[in-house]
Amino acid sequence: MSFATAQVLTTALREGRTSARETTQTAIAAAKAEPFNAFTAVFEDEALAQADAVDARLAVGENPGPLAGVPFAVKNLFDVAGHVTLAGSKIRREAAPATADATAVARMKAAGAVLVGALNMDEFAYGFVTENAHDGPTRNPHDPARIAGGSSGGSAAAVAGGLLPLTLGSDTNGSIRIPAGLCGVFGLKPTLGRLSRVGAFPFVHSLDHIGPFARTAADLALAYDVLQGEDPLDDLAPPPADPLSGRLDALADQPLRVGCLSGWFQQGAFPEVVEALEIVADALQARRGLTLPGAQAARAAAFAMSASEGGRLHFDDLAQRALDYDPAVRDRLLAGALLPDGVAEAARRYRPAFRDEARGLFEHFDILLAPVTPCPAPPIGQATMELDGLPVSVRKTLGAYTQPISYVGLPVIAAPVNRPGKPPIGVQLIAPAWREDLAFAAALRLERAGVIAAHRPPLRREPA
Amino acid sequence: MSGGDLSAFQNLSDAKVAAYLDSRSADLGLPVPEACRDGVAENLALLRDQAALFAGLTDPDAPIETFAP
Repeated sequence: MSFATAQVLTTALREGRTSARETTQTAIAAAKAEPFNAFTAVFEDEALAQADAVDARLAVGENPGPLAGVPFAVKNLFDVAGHVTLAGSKIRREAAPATADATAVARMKAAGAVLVGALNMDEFAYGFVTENAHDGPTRNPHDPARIAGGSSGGSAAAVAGGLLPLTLGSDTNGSIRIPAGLCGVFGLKPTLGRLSRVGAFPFVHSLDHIGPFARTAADLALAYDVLQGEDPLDDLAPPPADPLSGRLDALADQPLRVGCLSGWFQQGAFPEVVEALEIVADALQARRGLTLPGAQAARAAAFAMSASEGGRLHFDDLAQRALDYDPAVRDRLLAGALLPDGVAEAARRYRPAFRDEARGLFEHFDILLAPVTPCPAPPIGQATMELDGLPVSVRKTLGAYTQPISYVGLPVIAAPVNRPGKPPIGVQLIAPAWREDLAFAAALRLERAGVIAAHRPPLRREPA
Repeated sequence: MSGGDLSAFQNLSDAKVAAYLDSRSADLGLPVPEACRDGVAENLALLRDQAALFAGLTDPDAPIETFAP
């Protein structure tokens, strides 16, 4: 395992202290031996070929790109040419291999990064736990008895566990932010439509986002810059790239007006979650006690849109082979497919109203703070937990604070609060639409002040 | 109940959810395996409760805006 950042790795490569092949071999060895069940496939031969190509370009004085020789992996819903896109399912194991890389994968490779494998996830991205019925649960590197979160659990665990410095995931209702928060790493859910989703297996077209995971804000920015840019194949028409990596110092010094969301966004939160949020709020001199009216309704609408659109997407497979689905996913998709049309229509109709509520707050604030989850990572297999003294479903509750935000497509960095030796807790740094720069400004300032940080997991002795 | 009948869905009692499941499943040609029925019914009831939180907040006859963040 290596906890070197992407920046450190690429600098070492350019200074001739290592080769892309050597770095890739280290990553492949870690992926093959990893104890978290983060990987579902390792692309050894292709990765070594890509690494050799990077080394060859350096040898003749060419620049292989800003991520030269940096190993990365992707949630297994991204198309990788020559490989079947599983999307965490059994059903797609018989699908034809992808004929081209997803746009995000192609951009990472074009920047010199080396794809070493594919990562575990909740089936069809419908979940917050990555307890996949077909591939097994992904374990949290900070406590292997606990979940990594989901649905991009493999992506978060691989970064948290020091297998890789960068991974990609997707977020429809919280699926980047929740595993980032529970595993103690950084995750970016950009503005809806910012990053191309072409070649990422869909879940809810109206709500799907893709984004990176990293152990530092600077690495997150590096990956974000590489992933940006127009893509004529994406119907959301991503805008031209607006790179941030060259101005991180200026961003870190930028004045910010920060507000801390309460009400729905702290309802039922464990005391340590509120305490962690307060640490961040203090550091950013945030105004407390803000409410975002309609958050509970927005969460409910996102919940219904996901079931309805997801159910319709899977209608044919549900009709023919429902029992081949992960049971935890199947029953929700079937229920969604059976919903009357009016439910999804009402959920879509409420969306601009809630967006306008958020816009109203952003007239006074640059950043809004909220916890990522109500609790630290629950144990693997735990079905219910207590919130405010009442038993609630773990699977359905972990997204309570993330779903309202992705419902209206706002950019968010999920950042790990610096709590050495304690279970990871994440905070959402929420920015106005298309202002990822403000989320990065907050993350950089907090990181430089030591308020947020991704820690190495504790060393654990293997059982005798 | 028609596929677009939101208010009828919202007014389903717990005892009527299973009947809705059967009738909607037949209308759509989407069979629900016996092993899934309880789980699907439970999720339908949850979705009914969730729909109650947002369905009344907007004009049901208003056009649906093409969403932009």
